[in-house]
Amino acid sequence: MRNGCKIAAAAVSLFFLLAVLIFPLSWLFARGLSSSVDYSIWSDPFFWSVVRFTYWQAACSAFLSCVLGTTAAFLYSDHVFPARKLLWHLSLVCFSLPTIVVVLSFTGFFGRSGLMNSALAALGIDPFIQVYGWVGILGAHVFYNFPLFLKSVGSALEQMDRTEEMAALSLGASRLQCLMLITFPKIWPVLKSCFFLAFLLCSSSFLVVLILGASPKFTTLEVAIYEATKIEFDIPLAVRLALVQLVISGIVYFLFLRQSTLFVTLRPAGAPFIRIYHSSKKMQNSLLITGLLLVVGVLAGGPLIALVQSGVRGVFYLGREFLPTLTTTVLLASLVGVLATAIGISLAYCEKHVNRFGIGRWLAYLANIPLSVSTILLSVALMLAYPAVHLKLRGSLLAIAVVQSTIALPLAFRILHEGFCRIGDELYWAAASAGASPFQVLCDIELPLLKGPMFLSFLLAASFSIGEIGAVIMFLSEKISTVPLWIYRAMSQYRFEEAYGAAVVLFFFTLLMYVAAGFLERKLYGSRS
Amino acid sequence: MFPKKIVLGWMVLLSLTFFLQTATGAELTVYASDSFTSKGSLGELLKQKFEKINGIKVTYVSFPSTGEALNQIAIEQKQTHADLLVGVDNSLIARAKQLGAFLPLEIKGVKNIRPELLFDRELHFVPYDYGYLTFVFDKTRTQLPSTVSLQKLALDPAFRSKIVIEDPRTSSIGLGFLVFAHEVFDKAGYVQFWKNLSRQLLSVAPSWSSAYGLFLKKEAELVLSYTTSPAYHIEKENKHDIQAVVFSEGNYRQIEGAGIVKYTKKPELAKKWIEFLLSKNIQDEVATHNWMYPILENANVPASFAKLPKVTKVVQPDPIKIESSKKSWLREWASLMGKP
Repeated sequence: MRNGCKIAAAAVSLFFLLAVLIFPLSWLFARGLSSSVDYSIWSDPFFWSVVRFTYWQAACSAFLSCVLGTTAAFLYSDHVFPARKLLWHLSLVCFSLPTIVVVLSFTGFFGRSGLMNSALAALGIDPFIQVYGWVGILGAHVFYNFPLFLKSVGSALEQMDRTEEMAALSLGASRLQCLMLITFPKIWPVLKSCFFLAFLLCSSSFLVVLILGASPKFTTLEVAIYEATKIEFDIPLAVRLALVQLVISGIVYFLFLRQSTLFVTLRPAGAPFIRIYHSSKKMQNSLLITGLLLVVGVLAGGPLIALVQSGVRGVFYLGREFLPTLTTTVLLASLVGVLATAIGISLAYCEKHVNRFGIGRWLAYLANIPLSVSTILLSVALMLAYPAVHLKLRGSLLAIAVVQSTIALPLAFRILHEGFCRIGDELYWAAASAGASPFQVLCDIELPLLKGPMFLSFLLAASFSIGEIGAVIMFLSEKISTVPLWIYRAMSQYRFEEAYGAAVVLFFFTLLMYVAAGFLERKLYGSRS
Repeated sequence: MFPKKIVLGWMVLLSLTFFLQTATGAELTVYASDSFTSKGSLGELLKQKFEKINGIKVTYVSFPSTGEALNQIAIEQKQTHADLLVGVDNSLIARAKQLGAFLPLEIKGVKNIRPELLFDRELHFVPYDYGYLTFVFDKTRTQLPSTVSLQKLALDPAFRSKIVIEDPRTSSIGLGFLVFAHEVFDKAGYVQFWKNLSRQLLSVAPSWSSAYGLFLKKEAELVLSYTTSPAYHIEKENKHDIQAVVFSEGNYRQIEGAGIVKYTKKPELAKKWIEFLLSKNIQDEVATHNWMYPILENANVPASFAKLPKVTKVVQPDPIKIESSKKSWLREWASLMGKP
């Protein structure tokens, strides 16, 4: 039974992925294509306007995030300015914020009676920013997607070997030529990869569109699926909408996978970083940096100030009934953290050790599928695949935890896979020469060395769960209330003080977890920026 | 890496959560919309008084709209936790009855209700209040005469991106407004009305509460609400600037009712709750807690109600007609509005 450990890990991984992901999604796919369904939807103009809007807004959001994030990355890597570290940390805060908090912060700052328009009104300028509609949707998407570009492109720029650029400059090439002909092709794969990821995230946007869109004019497939399932109670419509989303997201996900490698040539160890992309004119540099800080300050700093300003006051409005909501949220996050980490370990173990028929590699591919699936889509698929179980589990933390941990699985898997890769081969050789079984290796070598990655995976999966609302809304019952749902409810009942109070609590909770995760990540892997 | 105290603390916290989750045991479960159960609402007062008088615990399960609460019962069927459903109005009643999930009622006090307000002759749902849909504005920010034409309002450039209405797919008041537009305009006029109105809309909010919240936050200048809404501001805030208009086309009358779920194991208790809702004790509170007209004519209303605009032309379409056309109306509305 030397292979018992490997068989068990493969069985657990395969069972989870088949039961929770592959079977429900295949069922959804089959039902969507079933000949018994009504095909009139394909000729419905509203349906096509939803599809068009979903992917058009996702493309615009990803493009704007790319422009801002990449500009910020170039300025960050090639300039030294006073608020440089602040820019980096602020972008990480944006990335970590739960969507409901972003939406609330945006209305608090860009709303007609928000901080910005109030300040403009005090100066005698009529409010000109309209947070509801295109501006709000694109703004919120850029808010939490530009850090993706800043972090990835910024890291690539700082780590790449710039010998070619230096050679080109010394031969008389201009900085622009250097940028377009040498650096840009080097970072192009990173940009494409980030673009596809941002596109995927924005195309499955739910709460931003639900609240800031607030009109059929601004309906994404995700919102339409939710409305068809929970409001119109039109399951065939929900299935067909989900099918379209599944197919298009699948294609984009495939493109993302093809691009998801960092192709830049790394700087030799010890070689100094050379700053190229800054103007020799101080004035020009200052203008560029001021412009960037102004845009990021207004887009990211403003809403956060509005959130903290209203939220600190709002905390005092939170009644005793908020406490069970908070503890339920923590409990759910813990469950998600444990479940995602456990399945993640099992998958990463298979990827490392189960090589027969390429099972490990295939499981690793399957583990990344949730990147192209949203919580709403997966919830609908599970409801349809297991109707009896759904009725029994409606409103149970377990159902929500299963959905959330599946969506968090790629994140957990990546961390644990990296953890496994960092275990030195010499340890395995030593264990093999001592006659240790795979189970003994797992218990005595691998798991103790994986404590850090396990805790990191737990923290990140739990942070995701703390801010997630899609699965909670889909499995809603009187027994469940999480903080994001509580905020959404408070906003709907115009209890804005309480909504801000709860949002600031959620904000600090998430921030604390991300800071802890960042600290742990640095401790495990060293600084990456 | 994992200090024992942290793990121990975590486990205590999780156990506490389990305790808090299991410590809630309900005697009577009522499904309702958020607006009925929110702080200071009629629902809260009703719960307090009913619990005090009868010694029975009432648990509200809030949904963003009554439509979603009804969907939940449709999904749960026999396994539903609901004993009662509150807030079903003229636009939802036919669908609720089609579900066959509600008991016909024999309730004391029904004889005191005006016949035109009894929106369900078989009494699966008993009405408890009513109101008239209209636009509400703040006269310090907006100038409007007491009677306005809806078609003209939809064309007035002064209201471009300044009106907030409720989504007819998620809100009963929004659906009431859609039904009203169908009733008062001919086909061409109806299409033109929505095309014009879509340009005036700041937001299509999912519920009355969120729409009214936008208006109170001064995000919008006109909000789709009730002719009785200004009474709230007079009574609670001594603010006389919030006013309602009357439409020259007439005003839609929305009636709200409550029904008992047929799968309930406590029909007598549920009936007692509805009778209490129709008692003078509670009906006297409808005007000042739900800010609607009480269903009983002899119920007290505050003096501010005398200052509200009088509706002379009432629009109240047949619920069966609403139900039979609703799906196509909603699809058509979404198409009219869904052109980014």
